[in-house]
Amino acid sequence: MTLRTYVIRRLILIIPTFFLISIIIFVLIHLAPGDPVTLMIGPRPVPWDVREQIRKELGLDQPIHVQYLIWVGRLLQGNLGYSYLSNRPVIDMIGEKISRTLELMLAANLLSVTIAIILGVIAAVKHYSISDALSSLGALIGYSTPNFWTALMAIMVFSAWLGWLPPGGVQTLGITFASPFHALFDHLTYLVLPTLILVLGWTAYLFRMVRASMLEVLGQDYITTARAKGLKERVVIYKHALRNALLPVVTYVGYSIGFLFSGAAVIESIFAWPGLGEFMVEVAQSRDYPTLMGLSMMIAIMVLLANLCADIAYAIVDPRIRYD
Amino acid sequence: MTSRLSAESEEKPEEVYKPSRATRVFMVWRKLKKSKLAVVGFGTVLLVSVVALLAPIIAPYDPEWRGYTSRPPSMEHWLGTDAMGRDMFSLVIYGARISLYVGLGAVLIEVLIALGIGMIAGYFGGKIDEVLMRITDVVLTLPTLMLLILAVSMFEVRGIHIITMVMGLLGWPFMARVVRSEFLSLRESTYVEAARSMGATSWRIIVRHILPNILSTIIVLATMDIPWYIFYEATLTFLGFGDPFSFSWGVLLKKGYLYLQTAWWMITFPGLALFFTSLGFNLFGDGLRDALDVTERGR
Amino acid sequence: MSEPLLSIKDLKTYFFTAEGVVKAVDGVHLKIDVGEVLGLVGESGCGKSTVALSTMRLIRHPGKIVGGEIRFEGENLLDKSEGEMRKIRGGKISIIFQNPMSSMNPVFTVGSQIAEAIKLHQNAQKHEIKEKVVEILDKVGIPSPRERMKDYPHEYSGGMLQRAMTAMALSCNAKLLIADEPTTNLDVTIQAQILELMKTLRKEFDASILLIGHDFGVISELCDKVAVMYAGKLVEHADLTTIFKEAKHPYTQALLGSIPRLDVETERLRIIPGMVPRLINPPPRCRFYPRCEYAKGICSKEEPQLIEIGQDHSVACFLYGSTEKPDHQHR
Repeated sequence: MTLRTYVIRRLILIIPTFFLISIIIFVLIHLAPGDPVTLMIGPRPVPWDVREQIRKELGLDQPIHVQYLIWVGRLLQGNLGYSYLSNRPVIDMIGEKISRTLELMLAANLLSVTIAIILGVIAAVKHYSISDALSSLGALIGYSTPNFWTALMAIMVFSAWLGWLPPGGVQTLGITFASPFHALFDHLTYLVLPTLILVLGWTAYLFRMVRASMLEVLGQDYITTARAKGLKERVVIYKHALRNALLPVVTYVGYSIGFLFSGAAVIESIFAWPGLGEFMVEVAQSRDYPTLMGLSMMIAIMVLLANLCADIAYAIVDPRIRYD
Repeated sequence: MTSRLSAESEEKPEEVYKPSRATRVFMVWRKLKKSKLAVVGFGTVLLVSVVALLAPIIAPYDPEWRGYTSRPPSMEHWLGTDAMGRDMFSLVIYGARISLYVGLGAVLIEVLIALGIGMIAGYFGGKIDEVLMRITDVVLTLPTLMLLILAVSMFEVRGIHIITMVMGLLGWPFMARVVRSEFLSLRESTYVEAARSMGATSWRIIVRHILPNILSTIIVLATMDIPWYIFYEATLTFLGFGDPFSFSWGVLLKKGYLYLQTAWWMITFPGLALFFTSLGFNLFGDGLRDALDVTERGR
Repeated sequence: MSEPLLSIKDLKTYFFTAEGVVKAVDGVHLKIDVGEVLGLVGESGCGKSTVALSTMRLIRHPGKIVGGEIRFEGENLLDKSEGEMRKIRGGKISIIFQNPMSSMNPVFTVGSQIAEAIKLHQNAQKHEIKEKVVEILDKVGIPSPRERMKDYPHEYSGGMLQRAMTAMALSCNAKLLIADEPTTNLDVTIQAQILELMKTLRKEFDASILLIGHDFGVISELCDKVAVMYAGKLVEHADLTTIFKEAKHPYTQALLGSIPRLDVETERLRIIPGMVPRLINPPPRCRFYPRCEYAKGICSKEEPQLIEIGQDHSVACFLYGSTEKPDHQHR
């Protein structure tokens, strides 16, 4: 099968997955006990006929499967819902916040991937040595630390005690009046802590993957063949071994979006970083169900697309895949 | 009785020497002891369990007791007091109870569901298998915390029982996949074929032959999932989706957050407890995996 | 007599594992003359592959060559620096492995991997290298080499890939080709083709071959001389006809006896009872002792040394030669 066929097949697979996800999200939200309208409006005194009108608008008087179809239909048209609590279309709110989350994820991924590959390769090449054992232990520790705790400790130390970095937000008030360079630098100081906390856990995970993958590759016959040809060890490792070992890493980076989003939800909340993660927590707390549904779908779609890109990227780099 | 005996002696075409369950456990134990890290992990797990079980005896103060508020660590209060004047040390000890309860409870639910679904998918195959696996894949790719928040937020009641149940109900996909693939490969194995040719019924094959082999994998996976559940419970509680009146470490951290500037002990100690518990389980799980894996395939 | 191309004396390669020291190769002597094909025979686990890898100094942690000498073209390879060894690997001595599908890097084209070898050992321009690749692929019998060199290893069949591996091994005019069970993983018909190919190439490149295997049928097709290994030690070494007609060591006889033959009436195949011994801390006695029909008292107390009992025929067995211990002691 050629690359084109693979991509097309993969794209087609998205459709049933999309619907499956929408069903899951829809079901999860609608299992909620209680009247959604009451929950949405809260304790505010609202006349009965207004409630009925909202109910009609939301389509709550229809049977459940019809509600679902209406919702999905709107989704496919790009209508992610309307928040009654904030009086704004969901998609607008998402639009404001999505870049913040993407920024965070990109920074975290870039750093993590770099560090994990460097350390992972070194650890695998120096298998059985002290540095391998130490870095593996370090990775396990990084993997076990609760990210929100490290975030709090970091704020305490670097912000409250040392005053080096800001405790939250995206930029200092009024910085927009300064030069763009200053504004950028200022923004970076806000980016540092949240990124580092995300990096801690993600690097630990990636490191283990890279090391395991590299170890497996180094045990393969073709590495012995490469050495038997008389190649320098450096060439054997960086040309022959690494190329193969990094193949699975491509997919991990693509699939990282799911993992990173979980971390982002917490980190963004702590650092008051106005992204989708913080938004989700806020929306869930206030029980803004329409928004919650739309937001969840948006996140799910992002994850789907990222996974798709990962799979396609993998197919491009691994010649074996295209000829399944 | 006699038929079982004869069937057993005939069911050993490949296993010339299959040690009894007792010897196998002993061999695993020996292997585990070799890894110092695994021993440390096991020790930590043991410590946390003991602390959790004996909380009322160990804790110096009743967790509800109010004394002077926001006191730093001192001789009377080893870990200080929180904003309401409760002794931190006792709070952390009682928090261990919650964490363990949540961890074990969720894992139990997870294992039961995963076993069920994994085996159903493996046994029936075909359409059922496909549908189940699609659902599994989808749940796996979605961000865990997002799913958890979604599921928890719809309940009126907030509390650890809800969280435990929800986590167990959403945590099965990974294990189910593994169960299914092991089930499938074991089903094709020669000694199951041999058993079948002796006339053993499907049920008997599943229970007596396939399950014990899957067991070790499940034990390892379950052990490695416990710290995740403890972590997620703490996270959910911290974010406000749990019971604000419980002693969960998440609650302690949530309350302590407000006093970041002035009272470092409020977030440091609960967090450390979380960290060490996670680390202990992870180390132990790693060691367990190495020990059990080798015993499985070793000759 | 001219100097042999390869002369291995008392080679010892041990693996230092957590369970103990595995003496995979424990005092092996081998000799290959220029243009000669030597077959190295033995069961799985007897150390043959370790001998091959030791010769190329490709033994890695936890293994180590702990003693002996490997003289190639008059020089001891064990004295050479890593840089010097790299020139020899692929250039003067090359190796092909048992499983062609796993011996080539799956993410690079076959042509580029061969070109890599050529570039390393020969001074040639880019286009010259390309031509050489085509030429050598053609020599090993790969059809449409110009197109096929752009293919990836998984696009080749097992037999084709083994040919390509052979091409890569010979691309730099190696003097010694080590073939570690090159046909074991292939169909019988393909096996025959590869052996034919080796015969042709041997003449054309004037190369010596160390052919490692456990199948006497394959060995007899190609080899001039045969060396038999058991449990890390060499037990017999003779030329082909002598081995088949006058094998002296009980193990060799048993191996030959276990080959099904069409010309001799036999009721049952001879089997060798027992199992290959573990090589961790072997007791100081003949390694074949537990399975030998002719075992004597002395066999369980000392290790037999390799003795010449005829023209180019040596055996390590207490049934032959003097029972007195030779001058140099091993204990």
